[in-house]
Amino acid sequence: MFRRNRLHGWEERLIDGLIKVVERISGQPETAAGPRLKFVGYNELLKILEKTDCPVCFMIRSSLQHYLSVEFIEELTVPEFREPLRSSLGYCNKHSEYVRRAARNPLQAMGVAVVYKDLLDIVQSRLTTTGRVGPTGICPLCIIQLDIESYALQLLADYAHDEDFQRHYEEAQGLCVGHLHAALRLAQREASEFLAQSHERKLNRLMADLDEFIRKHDYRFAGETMTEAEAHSWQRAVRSIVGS
Amino acid sequence: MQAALRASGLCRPHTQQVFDESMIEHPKEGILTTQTDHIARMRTTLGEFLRKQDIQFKAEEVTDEEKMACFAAIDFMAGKNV
Repeated sequence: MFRRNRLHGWEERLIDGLIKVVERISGQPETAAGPRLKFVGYNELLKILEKTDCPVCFMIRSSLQHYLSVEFIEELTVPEFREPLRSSLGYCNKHSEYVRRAARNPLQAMGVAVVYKDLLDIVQSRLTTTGRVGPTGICPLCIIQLDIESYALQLLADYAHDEDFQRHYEEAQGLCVGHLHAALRLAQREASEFLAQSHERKLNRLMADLDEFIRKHDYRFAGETMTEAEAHSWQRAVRSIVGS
Repeated sequence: MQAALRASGLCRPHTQQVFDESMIEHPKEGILTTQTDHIARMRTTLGEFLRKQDIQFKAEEVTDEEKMACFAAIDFMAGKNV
């Protein structure tokens, strides 16, 4: 459940102690099949599975949106927030979409304006002095995205052998190809077998929906009603390949 | 070309590309002038947008250009998302 290889001895002992306390309270002892305790992250994951997107993509997207909504209001004067932005000269092209979204909110627009006015000053001064207007650092959201991605993938790989999780996952949209590939590398044999087989079943369903979507565009079958799953199948196909 | 540049300017990544890759000095000078003007304009508009958020100047009307100043600055810094 935990990434224990990253923990120090005392942290491991503390977690073991906490598990025992929670077990005593909840009456759910650890079994031979694995710990039965599930943490906040697990419940979060189950809720996310009910959404239509790849759960990892969803976690990244919602976490980055939340991060910016807080930072542009509360962390505006914090050097740890501003300094990396000054060296990366703002966010990269891909992540700037999140900033555009943040700027639509009047409260966050103020923060965006303060940050970008400062960045324009830097570019202006560099342009007239050195003529070099390239970034010297990495987009902060790219770094945060990597962290969220590895957390989400680890969470998924840790629980993929769990029966309760598998039941929820079967009904869900499933992972996009990129995140499936990453999860398969992280998960243990039993878990990765489940993920691969489940993905194949989802893919078969998607292909059947796509076939029907195409068939019903033929004038001979145009009178047949298209189901919602069929109507959105082409969008699901795109999201399944490139993520969302 | 110069007229097009004066109208909307280059984004920062493409300005960087021009300055890193162009061997000829003459176009660089022209672009430098256009770009510094462009950035100064954006900066002024953004400054006005910020000033009008202050309670003392709240009564002053925020123009459409000022409303879009944040987006123009984001597009300039990262390049337009096409």
